[in-house]
Amino acid sequence: MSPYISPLFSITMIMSVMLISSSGHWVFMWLGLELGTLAFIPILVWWHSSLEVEATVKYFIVQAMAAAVFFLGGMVSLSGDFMGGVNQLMGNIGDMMIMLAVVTKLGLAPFHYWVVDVVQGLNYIPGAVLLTWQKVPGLAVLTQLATCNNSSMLLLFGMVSALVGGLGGLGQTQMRKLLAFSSISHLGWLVVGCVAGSLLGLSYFTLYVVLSIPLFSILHMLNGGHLNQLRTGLMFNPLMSVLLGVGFLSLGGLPPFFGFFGKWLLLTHFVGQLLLGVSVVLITGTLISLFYYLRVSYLCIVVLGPQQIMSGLNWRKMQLSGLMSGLLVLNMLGLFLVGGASCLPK
Amino acid sequence: MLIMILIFLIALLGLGLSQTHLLSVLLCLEMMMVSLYLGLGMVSISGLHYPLMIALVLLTFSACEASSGLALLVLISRSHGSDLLKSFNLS
Repeated sequence: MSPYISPLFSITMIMSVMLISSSGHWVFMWLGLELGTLAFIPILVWWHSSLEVEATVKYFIVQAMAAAVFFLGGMVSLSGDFMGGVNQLMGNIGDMMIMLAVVTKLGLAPFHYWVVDVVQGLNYIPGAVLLTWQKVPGLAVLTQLATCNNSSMLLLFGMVSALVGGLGGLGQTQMRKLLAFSSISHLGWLVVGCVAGSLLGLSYFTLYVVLSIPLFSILHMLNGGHLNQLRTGLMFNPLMSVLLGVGFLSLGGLPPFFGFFGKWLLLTHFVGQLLLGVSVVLITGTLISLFYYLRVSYLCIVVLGPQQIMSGLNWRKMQLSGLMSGLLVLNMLGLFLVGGASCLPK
Repeated sequence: MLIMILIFLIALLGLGLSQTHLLSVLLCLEMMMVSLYLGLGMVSISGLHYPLMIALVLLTFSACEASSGLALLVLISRSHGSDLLKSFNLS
């Protein structure tokens, strides 16, 4: 495909988010979700490999079905407006349908099965876009929908997806599936944050994007799908292996690193709002997911590759690109941010 | 309205249960969209008028969705040799 056409799709994806966040009516939200999906599909099949095409078909079917259910929910609540006595009931059913459709589009826990399959088929860069930017339209709808009726259900979905993201990644040896499960687990935190306060959700989302995009690009450079291939690819690149290990620990939310900052921010807010059970479940899910983060970073930092000779590696000639040095500085910033934020007046 | 919801649910069930061809999945998606169009017509008969404008938007976007679905059908039949769902690699 001609590379000149790609700005069209990316601009359409950005405009869809702006359309959703600036509109209060469900038709425009539906329009924005559809635009985002339709503009993303050509990016997914960019290289025309058979796995990619398959993953795109799965993505397309799930998204189109969820969009249709979204429209049905909107229309049920619309028709409830002038049906007299059952008005409130129809409105509630419609809101529930819309919420379930958006949750399916996002890939939250009871509806998360498509995420893993789709991400496994894709390359790292479209996968990163799928796991980060494509969450924005759905989250923008959810923050507008999170009224008092739905918020307990959204909290439930968030808790379940934190647990599922932790448990699902335990036996995985494929990097893409690991990243998909980690994204599901982070999405649980994100949705609970969006329910508690949209600014918190926004800051946690920014943090997740900032942490995961460099990891995805490093993995794209290494070009390995399996954990063993990862070790082989890192053999002559000790600096990159350290960065990858630290980045994964940070994504898991270990205290000295940046990923802890977002979790700490959300947790203080939840405890302040007396959401104690929710925060305990979220922490448990993250604790389980820390197992596979630790395994990846153990593989990156501690284990040597096959026939690796450390003496041949020249550490001075390693090229430290801006991206990686930025990642390193960011990951080290975490504790300072926590300290600075805790000194702020309440 | 209830008839339209019934049609939608039948199409959703067909989407979930279809196991042979991708084309039948796309047809079920299209059936869902058409039932939504029907429902918008019913809503606009019984009083409101702005659903008619929504119906045009819905029609446009369902056409876009159907065309991209057919493009994906062409792609999958080029890369897999057929559009059978059995040939997918459900890893």
